[in-house]
Amino acid sequence: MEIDKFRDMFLAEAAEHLESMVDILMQLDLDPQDQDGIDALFREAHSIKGMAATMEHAETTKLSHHLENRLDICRKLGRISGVEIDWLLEATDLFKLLLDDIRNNHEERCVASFIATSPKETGTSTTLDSPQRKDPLSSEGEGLLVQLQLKATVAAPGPRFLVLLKTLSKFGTIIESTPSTDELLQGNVPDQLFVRLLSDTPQEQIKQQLLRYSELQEITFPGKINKPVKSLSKSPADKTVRISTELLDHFINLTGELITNRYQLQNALKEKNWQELDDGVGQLKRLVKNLHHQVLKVRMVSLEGLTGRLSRTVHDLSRSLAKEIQLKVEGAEIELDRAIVEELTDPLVHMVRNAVDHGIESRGTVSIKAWRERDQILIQVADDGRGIDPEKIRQKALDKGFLNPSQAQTIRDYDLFQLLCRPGFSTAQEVSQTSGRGVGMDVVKTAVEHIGGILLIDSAPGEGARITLKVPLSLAIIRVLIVECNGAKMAMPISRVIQTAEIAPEEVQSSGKQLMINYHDERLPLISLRKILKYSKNVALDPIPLVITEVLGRKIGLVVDQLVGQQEVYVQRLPAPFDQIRGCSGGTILGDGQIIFLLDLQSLFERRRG
Amino acid sequence: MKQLLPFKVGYETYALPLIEVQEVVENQIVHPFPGAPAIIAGAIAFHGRIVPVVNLSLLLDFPVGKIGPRLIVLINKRGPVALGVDQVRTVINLEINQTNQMQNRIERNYIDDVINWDGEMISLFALDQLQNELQSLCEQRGN
Repeated sequence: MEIDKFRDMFLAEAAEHLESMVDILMQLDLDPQDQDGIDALFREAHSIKGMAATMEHAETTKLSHHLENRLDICRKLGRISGVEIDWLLEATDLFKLLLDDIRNNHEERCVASFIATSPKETGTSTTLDSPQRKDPLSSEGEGLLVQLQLKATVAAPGPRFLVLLKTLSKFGTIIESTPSTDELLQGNVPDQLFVRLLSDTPQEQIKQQLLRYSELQEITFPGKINKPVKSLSKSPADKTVRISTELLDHFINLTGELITNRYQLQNALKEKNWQELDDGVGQLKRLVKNLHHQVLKVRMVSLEGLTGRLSRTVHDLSRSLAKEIQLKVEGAEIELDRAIVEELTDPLVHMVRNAVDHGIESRGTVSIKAWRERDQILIQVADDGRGIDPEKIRQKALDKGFLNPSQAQTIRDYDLFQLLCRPGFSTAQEVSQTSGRGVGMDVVKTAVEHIGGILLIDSAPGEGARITLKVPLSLAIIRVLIVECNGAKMAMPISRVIQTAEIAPEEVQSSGKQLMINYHDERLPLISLRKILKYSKNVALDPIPLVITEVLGRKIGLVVDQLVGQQEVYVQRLPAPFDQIRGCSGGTILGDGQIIFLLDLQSLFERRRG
Repeated sequence: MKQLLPFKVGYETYALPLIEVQEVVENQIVHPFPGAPAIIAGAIAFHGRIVPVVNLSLLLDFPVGKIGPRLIVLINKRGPVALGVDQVRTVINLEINQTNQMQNRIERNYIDDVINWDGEMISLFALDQLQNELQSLCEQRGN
């Protein structure tokens, strides 16, 4: 039980370190001489090593140790080569596999063969890897690092070092030494000794003590004060959340205030002091609002964790396709519900892949921009490549039978682009390695719609392509449009609503069996919500209330009995097994106790089709 | 000794072990649940949670009237569910030897056992069977 807990902690933390390693590597790719970056990278490798060693994961320790050594060399050189960066990226991939092994209780895979592939150029510089300086302890980490150099004339360095180690151990605890006591006893003796010491004695005092030994040539303390590592956002897959103690204190304060408030209310009630009761309720309202706000904060994460992964995608892909592609990220600090970030990770990776693979021919820029518009977050992936030609889509839609000739004539570009998201519709001339794997645009769209968002595609030949995702800020509290149907109120996320309208019965035209309306020069089919929900027909309405929305890539006019209004609501998941009912993505209890269910039009329509 | 909560559905008296019951609620508005299977009469707001209500008359093939003023909310490991019944009676204390193991279980659905309570036949409601039925109905709606 305990071990499991520690293992989970180790896995979560190691994943965090790996993610920041990738981020740092991407930054170093742009600026290979960034000293702070190399230092930070070293620290990450060192942290992984420390944790893995504690948990006795030998292979992970071995790999991180090797990385640490290489990075130490880079640190001394003051730069990092592109080859090295690529190799280190591969190393992070191997780390992830190792973590998977540990997570699944498998034996860790062997890393020796990978270590053997380390690039030569910066790696085995002889002066740095000579036996004398082999494997110096890093200057980072817990404790004080002491470096002792014996005079060349010392006859028996091994025993001398053992004496020195013993002397040092009087000052505190020796965490590790290079060479180790065992190695010294075996006669494997270089001219330098590195010792990591955990001690309360000041550095100067230790030095004074050591200076008594006349055989010592030099005593140095190569350690420096650890800089706090910039905390980067966590892997979206984490099940645990780290909360700042500040926020926790806030919760405790709020709880305290709520307790006080309770007594205030109880008292007021006992004394039938209505003024006091009124004040108390006002206070309670404020406290609950504050609590709600703070709790939501815990669920919020920035997009930064995700953009790191995306820059990696761009980096790897542009290398393998021999394209020169820059990634621009704007608004990564935008925060949204972690559940949404989780849902969006794969779709965004796919969109970026698409942009690199199909959008840009040989060189260009992929930009990811995130911004907030009221209670929605917009995320746009844009490229400055050749763009998408609507004519090509039209032709393909005709060939594949997605459109009949007359539809192909009249369809708007907007709807043409939405066809790209239909299953089985791909414009890639041939399936490349990249587009062959991962998810297609239909899956992207489904994922976005699943969280109550919408996807918009906009492009023109020669002008690049822009795909915009509009998603709600939070899954728990969203703005909904409330409508009435068959005497019951029901809701749909406002993010799914294009517009509401009321039209006169004369405006309805019929095209065969299908009723249509003209809406902004577009012909939209009218579909009755009653019919979808299998309720009886309604009496004729005048005017007819409509919700213009998009379902399965098509704009429709959804006929409801009445448009009630907009409201912000707290959405509950339904208890199992009712959460599996399609067509309903949750419910909410309004202030007056009324229950309103959230319609998932997409799956209602799919159900009707199937 | 076992405590049972008897309730009436149609012409039949059923009972549930009291330990399975969380609360009997009265005069709750059952709100419609669009898109749900027919045996779900709707849902109630129960201590801030949305709890679906199963229409037992429909499930047990009795003539369906209006759901009675009282609903039985069950304790459920997976999540709460309420039973819409016609009438809820007072709790009875049952000695173990008063139960009769049914000769042929398959004959009637949703009955685990029958007891003789002062000459009245009371059927022990088969909760497991209800859970399985709900599961499969909701999954059907999911595919």
